[in-house]
Amino acid sequence: MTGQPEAAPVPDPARPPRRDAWDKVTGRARYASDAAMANMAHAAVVRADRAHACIVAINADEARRAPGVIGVITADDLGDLGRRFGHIVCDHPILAEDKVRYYGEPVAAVVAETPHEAADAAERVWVDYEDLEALTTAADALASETLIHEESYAGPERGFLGVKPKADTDNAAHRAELGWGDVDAALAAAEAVVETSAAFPLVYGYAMETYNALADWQPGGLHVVSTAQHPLMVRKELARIFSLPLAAVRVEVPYIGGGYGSKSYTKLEPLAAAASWATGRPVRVDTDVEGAMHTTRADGAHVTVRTGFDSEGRITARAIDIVFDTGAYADNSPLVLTKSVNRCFGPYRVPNLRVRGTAVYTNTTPASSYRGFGAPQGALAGEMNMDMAADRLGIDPTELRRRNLLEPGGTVISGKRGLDADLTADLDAVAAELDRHAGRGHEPGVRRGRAVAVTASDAGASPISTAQVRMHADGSVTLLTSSTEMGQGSRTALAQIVARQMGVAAAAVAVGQSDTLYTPFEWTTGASRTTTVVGLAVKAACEDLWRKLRAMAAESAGIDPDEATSGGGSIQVAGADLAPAAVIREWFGADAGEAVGIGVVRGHGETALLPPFWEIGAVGVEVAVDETTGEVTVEHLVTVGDVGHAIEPDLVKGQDLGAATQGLGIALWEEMVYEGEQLTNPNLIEYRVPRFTDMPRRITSVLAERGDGAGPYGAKGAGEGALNPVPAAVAAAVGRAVGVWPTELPLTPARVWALLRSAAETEAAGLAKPPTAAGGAAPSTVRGPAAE
Amino acid sequence: MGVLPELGLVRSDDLGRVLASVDAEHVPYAGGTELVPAMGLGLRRPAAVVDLKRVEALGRIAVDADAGAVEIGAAVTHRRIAEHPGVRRHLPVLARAAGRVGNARVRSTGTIGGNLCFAEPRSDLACVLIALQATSEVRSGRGARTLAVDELVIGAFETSLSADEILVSVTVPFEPAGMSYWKLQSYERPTLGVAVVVTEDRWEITVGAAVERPVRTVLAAGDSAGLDDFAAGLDIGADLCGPAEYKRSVLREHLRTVLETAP
Repeated sequence: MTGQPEAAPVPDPARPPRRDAWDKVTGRARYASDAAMANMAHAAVVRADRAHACIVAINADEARRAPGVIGVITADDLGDLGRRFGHIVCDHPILAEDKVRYYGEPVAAVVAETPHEAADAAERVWVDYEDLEALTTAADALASETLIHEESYAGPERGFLGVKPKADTDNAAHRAELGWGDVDAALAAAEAVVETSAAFPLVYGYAMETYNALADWQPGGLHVVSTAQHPLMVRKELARIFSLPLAAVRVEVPYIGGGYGSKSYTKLEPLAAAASWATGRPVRVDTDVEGAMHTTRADGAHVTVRTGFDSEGRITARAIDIVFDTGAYADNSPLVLTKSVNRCFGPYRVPNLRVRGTAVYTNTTPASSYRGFGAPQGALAGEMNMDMAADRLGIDPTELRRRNLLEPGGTVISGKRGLDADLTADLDAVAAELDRHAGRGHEPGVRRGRAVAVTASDAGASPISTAQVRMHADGSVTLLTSSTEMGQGSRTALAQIVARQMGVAAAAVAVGQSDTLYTPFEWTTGASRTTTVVGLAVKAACEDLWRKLRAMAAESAGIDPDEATSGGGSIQVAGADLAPAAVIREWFGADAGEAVGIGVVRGHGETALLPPFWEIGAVGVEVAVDETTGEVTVEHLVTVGDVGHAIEPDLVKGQDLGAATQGLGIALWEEMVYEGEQLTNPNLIEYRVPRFTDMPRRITSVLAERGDGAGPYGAKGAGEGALNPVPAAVAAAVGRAVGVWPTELPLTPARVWALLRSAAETEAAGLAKPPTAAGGAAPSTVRGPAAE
Repeated sequence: MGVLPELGLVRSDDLGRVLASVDAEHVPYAGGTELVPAMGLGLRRPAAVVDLKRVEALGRIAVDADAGAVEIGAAVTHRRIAEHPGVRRHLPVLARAAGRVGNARVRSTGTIGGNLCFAEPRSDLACVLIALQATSEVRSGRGARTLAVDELVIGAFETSLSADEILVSVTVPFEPAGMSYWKLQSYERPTLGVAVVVTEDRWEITVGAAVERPVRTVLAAGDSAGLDDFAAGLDIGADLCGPAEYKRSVLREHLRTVLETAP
């Protein structure tokens, strides 16, 4: 028998619920910005002060003579290093070559003994430019003859996960399509066709810790400490740029102070490494919030959805156009676009579908991954469209969704994993909670609205993960993984899996994380994959460890390995029950040694079908709108975390609340505002992130545990799901409250005031009926077909 | 640029020495909540900062019952103003406004003097103090002068102080009956601040935040046309908080609520 012990989690009062809690509340936690190396120097980045221009000349003589300066590096100083990075489209110069493509782009790095000296000298680097037409919106870029990138980056072996760079040169960074059936015929035959267009803002993935990297290049090797979410992806790009074997590049990632996807793939690491290569010193590159906003943001989007319905309110076809504002470089946006295409039409039965997506280069900060990965952009128009359709068809919006939602096991996209969730049950739970606390009666000057929204995302990324568990001579265990800890609590959850599998207390499990010199391969930390995919690798490593222990026990006893069994946290050999620690000591013949288990996940067995799981977002909101000021208060937020099994329920709820709160930020506040070529709000005073006072007046967090995931104990991922539908739900709720459907986010007080005014004008003119029942009919009212 | 330049520090508990140190290159510093971000952005580049926090005279709050006024030292923090029993008793609107400035960190280090002297238009205190007709005492090595806060704050980021002068204190007459302050604050700083004093025959209105500096007017009670003209005539600016017409609309609605529909 080779069964693993399925011991209940051991409550451990001696340890806080989170492994990082003590370090973080006492300020002891080490982040990349705390890392130091002997003889370390500091780089200041000289950034472009225009959006699109040819570089005529860079004069750094004065800066080179400034006190403390070790060197000034421009693209011309990079010798035979790879000049550009970009894991999908290799379009991103380490330092601008020949031209700059966005305001804030790094043009030179000044390396000095201290950060002050570097910053002072950076102001003495003079750059002469010849301006080009600046294309700061996707519409402008698509309409213009001016090219942001003159060359194609296509070539053999280029691309990532089947996403290839385009061969042609225009201002599209990438195109993606999905579809089936005959959409035009179905729309022509539909009882009703409802169209929705919505603009999703340019959002900065604010994390308390801004991007930074420390690099030490020495002949034959490179050592980097950075804020990278995906250290192995960064290692790969650095190895290519520096022509080094993977083994010669060490990327270390301590605690990350918030990632949200914004720290995925390569950011400042090549610049720090190139500066070290050029100066022979370890070099640190730091950013402040302004520098971070000039490093990466999320894709803005204009999405148009047309949906055909039959007389029963069943979807007959959806046609969706997605245009992303991707900024100056592709980064991960081509993949975000393909995911947006997969996610925009919702977990509904859609017999005829056509989705066309274009990611457009613009002269703005490059966009990349951000929590939700294309899902919130698509869902904004897609889910608002369902509310508008409900209005048009006279069907309750929750009921309209029920009629169209896929059943468990249903096909979202042919050839992919069937839907591993019960969305109708999730939606019913949302509606019931919204109803239970439905708003008070009429309050003068205040309008109320409620809405629900549902999404399903092909999450989990690639199922490629390795984990190592080492059991020591006293039975305690060290887990090694390259999964990064960015506040989500992965160290806690993964240790819990080890504790369960090995039958030890969580306190007896140490987690060593994210140092490519020591920890095993990990694909990424993103796409809500860690508990599911890394969890499976950890579980497999524990199974391997039991196998090793059985073999050791059998060898010590002189019996055949098959005759040893394990279960209940011990090894059974010849009728004796042996503790694993005793097996290790006996085998080594000393109070010493350890047994090592290796776990591997790849596209095979339970993770053969992609995606590894569908990540569900099911939320509801009730909002109150002040008629005078346009201010929106979120009265009630309901999230359902459909996670299969919650290994650490508090951490799952924390993920849901954090994700939903970021969704509220996008819905109500967050927007990078460009005025001409320049970003006007590159700071947290004017780029408004959610605060405690913005939190919903009531928060209901429900966990749905149906054991229907492919992960350990039936778990599925959380982390992005609760963000994805929130902007759409808030927009629809505000639309109901105000009487006009919003067409762009964020719904700032001034924008909502404008909607109120336009509603008043419409009502006064008697032109049209506003959306039904501002805060009226409960969205969850169940109406049987007979009542329709 | 997030890295502050290196700079000198002048620190003394003696007002005379402080006054002798202050000039265009040696700038007064207390809470630093305005100055430090401005230096971080490279907007201010003093050679040195002159610390005011150790000068006792600048840190006092004194209630003068006979004069019917409260004197508040320039280096008193928002938090102390909000919590001081004398201020809460005699100037409850000011105490509440100070208790809602910025955020907890700003309130516990930022000062009334810094707030006025930086003259950020989107400020609560200047509006409330001008509504209360407060006066300020200003000193330099050359002597002292007293002027209305209305004359101290003269424009956006602009005061009537010379480079060698510092604000020592603000003297605020006890709050009149019928006073209130309301603000619209959707962002880090207020979008609009409105202080009103309603008496039997007068409406005193001071508008801040949406204008370059607070604007005060006095109307006969019931003069709705005057209110319309006042709101329409204000030079309200557009910014990330919204267009001028939005702010003007909110202002007019608010005035209607507090003045015209008052019981």
